[in-house]
Amino acid sequence: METSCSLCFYGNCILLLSKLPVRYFISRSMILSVPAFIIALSASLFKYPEWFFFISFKSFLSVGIMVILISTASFPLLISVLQSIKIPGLFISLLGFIYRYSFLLIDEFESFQRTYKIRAVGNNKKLKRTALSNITAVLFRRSLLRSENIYNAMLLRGFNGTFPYVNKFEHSVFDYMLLFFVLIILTGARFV
Amino acid sequence: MSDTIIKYENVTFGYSENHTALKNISLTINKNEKIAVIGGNGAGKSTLLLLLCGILKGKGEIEISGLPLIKENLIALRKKMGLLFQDPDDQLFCPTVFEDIAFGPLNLELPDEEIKRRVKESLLQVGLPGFEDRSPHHLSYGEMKRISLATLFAMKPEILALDEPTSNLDPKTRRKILEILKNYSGTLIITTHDLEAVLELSNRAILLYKGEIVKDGKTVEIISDENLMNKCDLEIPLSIKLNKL
Repeated sequence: METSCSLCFYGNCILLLSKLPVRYFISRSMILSVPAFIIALSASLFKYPEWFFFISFKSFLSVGIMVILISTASFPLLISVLQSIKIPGLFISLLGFIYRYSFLLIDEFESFQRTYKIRAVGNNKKLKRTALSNITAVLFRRSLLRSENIYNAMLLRGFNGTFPYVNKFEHSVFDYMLLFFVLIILTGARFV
Repeated sequence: MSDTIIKYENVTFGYSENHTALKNISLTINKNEKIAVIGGNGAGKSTLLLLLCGILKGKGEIEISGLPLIKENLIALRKKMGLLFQDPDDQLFCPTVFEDIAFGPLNLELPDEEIKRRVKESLLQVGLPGFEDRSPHHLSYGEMKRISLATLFAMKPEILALDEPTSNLDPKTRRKILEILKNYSGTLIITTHDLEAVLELSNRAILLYKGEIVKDGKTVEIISDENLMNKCDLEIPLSIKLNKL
């Protein structure tokens, strides 16, 4: 309970510092917390009714912190910070690939969607369904081809299975002070 | 001592049993030579480059700097060459330009300071200084193409193999790419349909048609031969047409 309160206090402080609109923060956090709410509800229905509050509250706080982080820091900065705290290169590279290629996949899907709208005229629903399934199949095939090309591009630049990186981010004194402050709050909440 | 840096000997490759993309190709390329591989669609130009980089494996032998292109030598040979893909989205796979350019030097296990220096130098070389923190998906197609070139320059390769480096570019960006390539001092192999660019960049051209070398010789002589160009699904460039008038 104390930890939850301190997390709540800490979360509020960060929300104030981030200068994000409260409505924006709550709406996004609520949407992203829906799966956790469902799990909390099912757990409370079966055995522990009090769990609903705790699971929902904690997951909302965690998701909220994520929303603040994503909304205030650029993705490249997040990657640099993850590197600076020695998160394994494989994990960071996968995260980078997902970020980089999600845009490309969206672009390809949108171009297919436009083609579909132009070509799938008339009311033949069966034909429309077939066209849509074909588009999905082609999208998967293109993804596969692209992944092969990317892997080849990596091999040609000396990729040998490891993901080294240059550490560009340097922690400032303010970062260490903030970390110290957070630790004090969390430790205090544990013993008070 | 021989100046040969690349040697293809009786190289044959097919994507399937019924379709042979390259037939019995034999050619040598000298150190610091600038050559253009020209031909219509499906002539086998890109396949020739993919074989050179060891991405595809065909029959026959390929040698680079005296080393045969076999599995054991692949890593050493790939350090000597850079391949520019036709689509820059295949080449730029990192979240930032810095990481993309640094990817090659990092795999060469260079020290951090040297990597940062190479990233800066390569960006300067392609005329895009200060692009380190940009995301590739926020760049224009021309900028992505130039950054793709920078990823190769950062490796300091002896051989640059470029697949359609000027395709889909506006005239200004195309000019910039041509200027960058003119300043490159190593061995350059380009495959393209852009025959005006070929005239500017290379002294030697290799004309491919249906997977076979039809002619290997001086660029101007090959490109000016109207019958040969038409037979191989190409057209003589406008500048030569105007000169003939």
